[in-house]
Amino acid sequence: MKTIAAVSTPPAAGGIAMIRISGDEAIDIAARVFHPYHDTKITEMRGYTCVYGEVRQGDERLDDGILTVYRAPHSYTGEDVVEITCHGGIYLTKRVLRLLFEQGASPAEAGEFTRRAFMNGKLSLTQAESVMDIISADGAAALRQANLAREGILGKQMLEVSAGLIELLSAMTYWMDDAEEFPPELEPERVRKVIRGMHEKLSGLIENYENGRVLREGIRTVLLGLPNAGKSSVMNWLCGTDRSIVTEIAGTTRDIITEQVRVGDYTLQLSDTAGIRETENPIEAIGIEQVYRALNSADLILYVVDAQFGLTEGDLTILEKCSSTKRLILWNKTDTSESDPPQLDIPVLKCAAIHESGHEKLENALKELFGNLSPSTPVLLNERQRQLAIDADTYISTALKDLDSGAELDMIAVQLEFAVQKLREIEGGDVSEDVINGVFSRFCVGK
Amino acid sequence: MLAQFDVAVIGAGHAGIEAAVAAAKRGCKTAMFTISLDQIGNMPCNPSIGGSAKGHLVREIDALGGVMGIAADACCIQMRMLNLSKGISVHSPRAQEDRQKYHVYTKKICESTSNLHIIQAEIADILLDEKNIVTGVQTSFGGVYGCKSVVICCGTFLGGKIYIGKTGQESGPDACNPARYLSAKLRQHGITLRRFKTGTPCRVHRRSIDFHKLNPQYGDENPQPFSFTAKRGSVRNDAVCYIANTNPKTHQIIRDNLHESPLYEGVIHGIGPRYCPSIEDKVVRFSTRERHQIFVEPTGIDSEEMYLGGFSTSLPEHVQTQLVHSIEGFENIEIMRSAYAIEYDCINPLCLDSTLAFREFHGLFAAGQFNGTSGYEEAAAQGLIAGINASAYVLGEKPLILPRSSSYIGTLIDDLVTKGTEDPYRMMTARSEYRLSLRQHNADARLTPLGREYGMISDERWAQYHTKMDRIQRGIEMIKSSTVMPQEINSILESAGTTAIAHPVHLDSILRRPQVEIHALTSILDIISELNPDEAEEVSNTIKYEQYIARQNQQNEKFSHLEHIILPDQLEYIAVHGLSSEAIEKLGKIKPRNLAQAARISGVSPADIAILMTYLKAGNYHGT
Repeated sequence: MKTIAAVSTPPAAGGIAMIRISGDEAIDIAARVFHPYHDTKITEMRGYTCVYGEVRQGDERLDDGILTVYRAPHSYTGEDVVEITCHGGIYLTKRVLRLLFEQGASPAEAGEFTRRAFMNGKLSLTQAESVMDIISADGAAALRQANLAREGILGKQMLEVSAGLIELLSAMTYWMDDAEEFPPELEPERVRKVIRGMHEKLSGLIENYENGRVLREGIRTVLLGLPNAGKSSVMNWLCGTDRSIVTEIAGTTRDIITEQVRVGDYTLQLSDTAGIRETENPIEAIGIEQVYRALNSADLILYVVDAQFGLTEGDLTILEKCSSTKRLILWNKTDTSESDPPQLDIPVLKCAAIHESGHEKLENALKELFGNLSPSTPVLLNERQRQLAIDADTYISTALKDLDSGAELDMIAVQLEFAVQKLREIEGGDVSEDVINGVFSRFCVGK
Repeated sequence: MLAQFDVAVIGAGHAGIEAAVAAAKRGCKTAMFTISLDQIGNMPCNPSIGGSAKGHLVREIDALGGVMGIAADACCIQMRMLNLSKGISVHSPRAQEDRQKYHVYTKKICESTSNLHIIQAEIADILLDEKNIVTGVQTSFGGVYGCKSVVICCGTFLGGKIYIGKTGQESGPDACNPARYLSAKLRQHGITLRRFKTGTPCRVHRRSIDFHKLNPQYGDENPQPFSFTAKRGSVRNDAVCYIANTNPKTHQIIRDNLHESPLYEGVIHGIGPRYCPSIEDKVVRFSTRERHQIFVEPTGIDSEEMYLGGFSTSLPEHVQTQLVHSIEGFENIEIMRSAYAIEYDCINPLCLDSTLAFREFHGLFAAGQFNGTSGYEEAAAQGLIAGINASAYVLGEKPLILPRSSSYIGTLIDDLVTKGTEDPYRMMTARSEYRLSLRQHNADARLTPLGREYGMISDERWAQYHTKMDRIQRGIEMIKSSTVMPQEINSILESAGTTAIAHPVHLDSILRRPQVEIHALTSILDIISELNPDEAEEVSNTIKYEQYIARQNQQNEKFSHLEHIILPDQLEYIAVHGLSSEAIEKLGKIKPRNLAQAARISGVSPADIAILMTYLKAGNYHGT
C-alpha cells in the first residue's frame, strides 16, 4: 500500500498538533524529515518508542516535537505508522505535511486511516459501523465543500481548465478515431498554446494557494532595516502601542516581536527584528540569526530606511539578499530630512513613523503588492486540493515536455486525460464520457 | 422434440458465427439458427471490416482464436493501416471486403466445423423451466429443439422495420424476413426491450460513376493482415476506393425535403448511433459546413454495386435520386438499392453480467446489436465471448471475463454491462484508459494465452505464437543490454536528424529517440535484421513507449487495486449503512462484480466506494 499522511488533529490553531503517516514507507519518509536531537536512528527504532527532535526542511528548522514509531501490525492501521506531535498552528502543520508529501507520502483521503485499519482487520464490526458513520459524515462534508467550490470561483477556474482540456482531447480523439479532416485546433503551435495556457492557469491557482493562506492566516511581514532606521517606531505606528522599546541606542531590539495588525482588508503577522549589522554582542547575534530565518518564510519585507542617510551600500546588500520576497521600502523620518528616495524597482512609501496615524497609505501600497484580496479570489481550499492541482499540473507539464520531444498525440492525450482525472477528483465526473460527448457535439463524425 | 443441443445460437451474423463456432470448438453440440442460410455472415451495411478501434477488436478476436480476422483476410480486396501518422496506439487495420465471398466463406467455415449444426428457422420463443433455466427453443412453425444454453444474436432482425421516406415495412436487413415473434415472448419472460435505429446508404452501379471527378484511394503496399495465421502481403489488395463530396446544392435539397424524412417527422422513434449520423443529420447539425465526404467503396470483385459510405439517409426514393445527382461525378448515377433506415428491438445491456449472461436467467446469453451495440466487429467480439461462456456454462467450467486492462473486448463488455448505452455503442480508442498498451499489434501477446486456455488455439498456432514471442523478447533484451560507442552510432544519429552522443550509451536509449527507427540500427545489432517486420515493430514499440506505458499503468494502478475487491452477488446494498440512495439503487440493479466496476457506475461516488470497501473488509474479517 502506498504511504499516506494527514494531520490527525482538528484543523484549528491549537497548542499541539499530530501528523500521522501510515504505510510501507512511513518510517523511511519520517526519517528524512525528522532529526532526533540524540543519536537515535528512526529507521532502527522499535515499535511503541518515541524520540525528541526537530522537523527540518533542508537547513530550515520548522518545529521541534516528539516522534512515535509503531511497527506493523501493532498500530492503528495495522501498517507501519509514525506519529509526529509538534506545535499546533495551521500553517506550521501544513508545511510539515507538505514536506512529507514531497518526500513521497500521498495525502490521506477522508477516513483512509480507518479504512486501512479495517482492511488489516484491526477493528471489529461494531467499531467498523460506528466509524462508518464518521466516514459518511466526512463524505457529506466533503460534498458540501465540493459544492461550495463548484459554485464558487475556484470551481469555475477548475472547470475552465478541465473544459479546455476536454475540448482539446475531443479534438484529438476525433482526429485519431475518425480520419477525415485534421482539426485546425490540433496545429502543434495551437496545441502547445492551449496546454501552456492551462499550465499557467493551474500554476496560478497553486500560487494563489499561498494568497489564500495570506487571506486566511495573514501576510507574514518582517520589519527590516539598518540599526536605528526607525523600525520600532514603525512597529508602534502600525500597532498603535509602545510594543517595542524605542531608544536612541543602535541595537536595542534583540528579540523578534510578533504582532498581528489589521491594515484595511489585510492582516499582517508583523515581526520586528534586531537591526541588522555586524555585531560583537552575542545576544544580538542570536537575534540577527533569527532575522534571516524569518526572512526565508516571509511574504513581505517592510524595509525601513532613514531618510537622513539615504540608501547605503548596506541597505542595498540586504535588499538584494531578500529579492525573492515582496519588498516595500519605508522612507522614514521625512520629518527630519527633505531628501528624496532614488529610482528603484522596489516600491517606496514615504513616512515619518513617529508622527503617523492611520494605515491608508500602507493599505494602498499593499494593494499594489498583493492585489485585492477579496474573498472572491479563487483559492484552493485545502492541502488535498493543492496536491491534486499540483499532480494535474505535473501531467500537463509532462504533456508539454512530450510534445516538445516529438511524441505522438496519443501519448500526449493520455497525459492530458490523467490531468483531467486529477482535476475531477476535485470536482467529480467521468472523463472518458465527457471526451466522447465532446467529440459528438463538436465534430461531424462517421461514414 | 426435434433434436437436443448443448448450445443454441439464434442468428448467423457476425456475433452468431463467432458464438456458434467457439461453442462447437470447445466441444459443445451446437446449433446455429438463421432465418435464411443465404444470409450467413452478411454485411448489410458497409463492405468493410476494421477501422479505428474496430481493427483492434478484429485483431483481438483473432488472437483469441475467433473467425472474423481469418475470414476478413480471405475475402479482402483492399487493405490499409489507418492512422499511421497519429501514434502507434491508434494504428488500426481496415479492409474492404468482397461481401458475397465473405458470406460464402463464413458459411463454409461454419459448415466444416464439427459439432456445429446449421438450421434455417425463425426462432419464436426461448423455453424456460420454472426456475428460469433454459431448456430449449421453439421455431415459428412450432418445432422444438432442446438445449441447455441459448445465445441471442438476432441483430437488427428482431422486430425489424425499414423506412424509406415515411413508408415503413416490417423487414430485416437486405429485404430479409424480420424476426416477428421473439420480441413478444422475450417481454413475456420479463425482459425489457427498447428500440434503436440505424441506417445504410444506397448502392449504385459502377458504370454510372464518373471516376475522373473523384479522388482514388489505394491499399497499402505489403499490408499487414488481421490474422496471426496470414502472412504479410498475402491478402488481395487491388480494389480502389474513391472519395466524392457533397456540396451546397446537395445540402439545400436536404433542407427543402426534411418534411419527407421519417426521422425529422417523428415517424421513427428508435435512437440512432451518434457516430454514424444520416446525411440529413450532418447537414442540419453542422449547417456551416460546405461539404461532407462520401466514400465510394466496391462491394466485391464479382459485383458492380458500389457503396456510398457516409451518405446514409431515410429520405424517400425521389429525393435520394436528386441528392446523388447533385454530386460531382454522380450526375448520371444509377441507384441499384435505395438507402433506408431500420428500427429494431434490443435490450439495455445493464441486465447482463460480465459473462454476457442475463442475470435473471440461467443459460441465457446475448451478443451483438441485440445488446445495443453497432458494427460487425463489436458484434463479433461479443459473440466470441458469449459463445465461450455459454459453453463454459454447459461444461461447468469457469467463464471468460476479460479485464479492461487486457483488451478493447474487455472494455467494450465492461462498458455495456456497467454503464449501459443510450445509443448504439461503437468502440473508440478513447474508451480505453489502457490504450497505450492495447495496441492492435500486440493483441496476440495480450490474448492468445487466454485463447489457448479456453481451447480456442491449435497446437500448431500455439507453437508459432511461442516462437514469435521468444524472438521479440530476445530482441528487446539484446537491445537493452547493448552499449554503443559514439563512433558507431553518430553518423546514424546525424542522418536521422538527432544529436550526436559523446559517451557510450545503452542502445535502448538511442531507440527511444522519436527520430530513430529500429531499422536504422541493423548495422549495430545483427539480431534486428533477423526479425521480421512485425516482430521488429513490436520490439521497437515496446522499447520506445515503455516509459509512457509505465506512467499509464501507474495512474491506473489505483483502479486495478479495486478490481481485486470482489462484491458478492448476494450483497444487500440496502443493508450497507451510509450508502447514498442513488448508489443503493444502481448497485442493486447492475450488481457489479468488483469495486472498480462499481466505481465506474454513474451516481456511485468515491464516498460510496469507501463505505463499501470498509463494509466488505470488516465483513471478511469476521468471516461472514
